[in-house]
Amino acid sequence: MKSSNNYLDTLADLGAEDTHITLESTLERVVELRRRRAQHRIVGTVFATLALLTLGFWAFMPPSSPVPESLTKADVANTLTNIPANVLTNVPANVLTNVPANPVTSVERATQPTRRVASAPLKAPYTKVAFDRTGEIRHDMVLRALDFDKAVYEEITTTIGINDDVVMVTNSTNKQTCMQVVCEGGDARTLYCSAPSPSPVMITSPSGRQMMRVEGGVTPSSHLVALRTQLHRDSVLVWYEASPAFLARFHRATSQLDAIASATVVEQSLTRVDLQRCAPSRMIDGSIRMDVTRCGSHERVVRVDLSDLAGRPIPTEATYTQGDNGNAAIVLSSVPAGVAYVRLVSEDGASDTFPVAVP
Amino acid sequence: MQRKRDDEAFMAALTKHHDALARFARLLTRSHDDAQDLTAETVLKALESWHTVREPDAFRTFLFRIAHRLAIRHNFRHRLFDRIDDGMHDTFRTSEPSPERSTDAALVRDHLKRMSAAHRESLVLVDVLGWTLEDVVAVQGGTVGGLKARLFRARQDLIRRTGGSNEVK
Repeated sequence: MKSSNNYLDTLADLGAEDTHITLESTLERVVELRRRRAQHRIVGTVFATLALLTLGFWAFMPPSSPVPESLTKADVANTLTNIPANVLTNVPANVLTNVPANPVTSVERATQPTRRVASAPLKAPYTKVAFDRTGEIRHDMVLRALDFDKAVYEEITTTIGINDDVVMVTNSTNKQTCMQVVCEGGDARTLYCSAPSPSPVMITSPSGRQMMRVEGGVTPSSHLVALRTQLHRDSVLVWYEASPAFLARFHRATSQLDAIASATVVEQSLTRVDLQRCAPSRMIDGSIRMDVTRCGSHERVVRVDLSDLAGRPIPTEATYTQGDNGNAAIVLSSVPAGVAYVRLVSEDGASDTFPVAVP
Repeated sequence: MQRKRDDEAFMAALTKHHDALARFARLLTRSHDDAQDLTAETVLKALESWHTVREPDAFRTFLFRIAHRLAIRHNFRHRLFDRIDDGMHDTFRTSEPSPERSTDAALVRDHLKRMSAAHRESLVLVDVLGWTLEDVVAVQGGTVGGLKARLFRARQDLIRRTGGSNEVK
């Protein structure tokens, strides 16, 4: 046996060893390799061609699913006739002239989307239609601009009980708006967080019946504005206190949409309630009491009528009391929480109507 | 006619370096069959790119550079697909003509198999085939200094594996 260093010398001996790999055997293998490669190339070409043909088939063949039965020519005709006039006036003239005389002779099914895509701002023509068709859609877009997280409010209205409150949770980082549903007894139930946005004071049905109340929402100096939207496909009014901060945010939001519809148009469509005209209502001994001294002179009031925002009368007992010192008050009982109109009718038939927020 | 001339020139050049190439392949791979595959593949690639060789003297470097790259790919595939560790290697049947376990050459070859590819290749080119450092650098790339360091570590590794001291002259 050699010493370790001598193994290095053995390396040189390996150079003289016979490898049993002759030039002839190598050339034989080269020929074999060439033949195999040629076969691989043929197989690869065949597979690539098949793959291309399959892709082409999927890309250019029409989808096999049938046109939905619900879409008929009559539906399309109805839709076209129901387009509001102002939408058509905003369509460029050359578009209208290019419309064929009978636009519903052939109804082609649009390609169905194969996957969901991330939401993106609507492009101008579609937004224009969306703005002009109904006020509800218009308000929806303003709410979106105000970062109103519809999903969160839908979730809250699903879980909230009739006597539960929604409490705004203090968030020092100010990166989120967090709300907590609190039970009547004071137990916190669920926490919901969303992007920072102005907090509504309450959400009511279109008739004014309260669906969700944010604790401490309506203040004595409240001047409220409501935006219409849909939660779970039900129309609702989202009430905001028209504070200077909210109005500034509102104008910022509407200015982004200015190119499409002026902020004035949006503002005009808002439902407004000015509680400053009267003192806010208060709950005293289980009854709603509202001092109406500042609402005008009602010395000869003979009747108090209540109606919801839709104008439907609310069957409830209401009394008008005149104090000795000139103060007057209306005591309401069994009025559902939300927003309602109070109408005071005088002896001479004159009436005074004003809104009231019922806690 | 031109093609025939090219093939003849290629064969003349290949004949001159074939044995060295086969030896190089044999010492870089684990079995006789692998060595023959590596040699044949190198020759085929060299033949396909023969028209790019302008200086006949550069053929050796050209040929061994192809073998070097193929060996790297071969080792990479082995690392990916072979889950057999070196300790189990001896238990498998091999295409070796006749394992001469008692000779020093067989022992050295055995240790070479267990070395890293870079160390093994440097040792084979310099110590087995007797190439100059500059020629090896032309095949492997890098610098002469780097090659010297690789050689030093490879020799130390071989000595350590054969159970000797770390002195390398």
